[in-house]
Amino acid sequence: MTILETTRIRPRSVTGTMPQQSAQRQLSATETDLRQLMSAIAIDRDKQAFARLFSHFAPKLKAYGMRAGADPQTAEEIAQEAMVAVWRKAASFNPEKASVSTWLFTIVRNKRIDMLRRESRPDLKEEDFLHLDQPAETQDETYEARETGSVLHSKIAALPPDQAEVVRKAFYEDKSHRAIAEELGLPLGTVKSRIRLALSRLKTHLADDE
Amino acid sequence: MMETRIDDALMLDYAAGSLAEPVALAVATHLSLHDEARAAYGAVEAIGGAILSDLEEVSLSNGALGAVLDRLDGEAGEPSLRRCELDSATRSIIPAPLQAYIGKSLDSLEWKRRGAGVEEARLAMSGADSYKVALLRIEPGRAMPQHSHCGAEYTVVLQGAYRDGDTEVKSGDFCVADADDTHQPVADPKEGCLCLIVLDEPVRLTGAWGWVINPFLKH
Repeated sequence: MTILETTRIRPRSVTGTMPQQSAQRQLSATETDLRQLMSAIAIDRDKQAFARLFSHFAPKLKAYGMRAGADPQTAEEIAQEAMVAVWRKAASFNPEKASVSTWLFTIVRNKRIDMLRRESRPDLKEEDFLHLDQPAETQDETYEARETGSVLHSKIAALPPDQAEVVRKAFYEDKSHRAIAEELGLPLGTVKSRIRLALSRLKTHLADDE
Repeated sequence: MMETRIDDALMLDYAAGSLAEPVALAVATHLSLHDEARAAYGAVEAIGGAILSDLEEVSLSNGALGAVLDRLDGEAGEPSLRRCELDSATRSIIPAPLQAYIGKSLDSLEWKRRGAGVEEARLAMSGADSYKVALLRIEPGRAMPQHSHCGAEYTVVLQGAYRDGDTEVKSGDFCVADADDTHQPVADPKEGCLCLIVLDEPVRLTGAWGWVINPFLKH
């Protein structure tokens, strides 16, 4: 049975607000679809599945590169390098820990740092945590990470515009809080507090809520 | 009481990848050792994923997919665990993100005395000229070294503990101090303390004449 035959639309699908939905894409790419593609890539080394994942993500990866300051050609290279890394690392994607888009975000972020800043990123390694017993709170967050489809998206969409703006700039534009503050003409403390307010809205229930 | 774990704004910057490598190293080391902070971090990284999936699209050139497909056959799968070069004693203390900067072992680093009962080993990091990254080893009951600096100072305790006023800072904890902090922390009287420090030193204090310009700095 092929991936296409087993795919079905889940009721809670991620629709987002993408202005340029490709007309050729017949299915909306839900988290389930993306996970099935990842399985096919990791287990069967299925290039057709990879091509579908590419068509879904590469244009966003290129947009991410450009927002971080790369010219279109470099941004395209970042997107391509990220997708090659997806192929290489597919077996290490763990759906218990994160959504496909979060995993992909970490890959393209690291490529962007590597290619635009020529630095390496000190990264957390999964094997550091294999021996840890997961406390109950962590399991709830993992649940949220898996369900990132609608809950987190709707929380982000519900952020007050001034908070949403600083969070997006912080994630896209590789800018320090000081640089964001200068760009928006705000005091540094205002930027930091908007980020903190946004994060407290977006985080799910944690044991250490302050 | 001081904060002993990372604040949300800094955690977001780490998730976004906008921190300079030395500061990112301090954050990654802290997250590797501090279970609660690590658990909170997963949720912040998920925001990056959600923002990515909502991002607009920019078309790639016609050959882009083909060029990538051509490369896939040459790409073997990546082993998920890497061999570690460090000896087992070092590996039991130093978490993964920091291991790459240590070399063979803690003992193989160049440790220099920095006052009574204090040793420091600087870690090399290319391109991080305005930062000082070092491990500090403090004997039980000794005072932590004072750094006169104008930027931020990040401390991650790897082993042992220290006391700063009424706050105990222990293994896995993360503290940020700025130039105005006049603290006099003291290493735990039984275990002493091993920590990672990252100092953000503004360019105007360093330079070819670093030592001469700043005779009052106790670096």
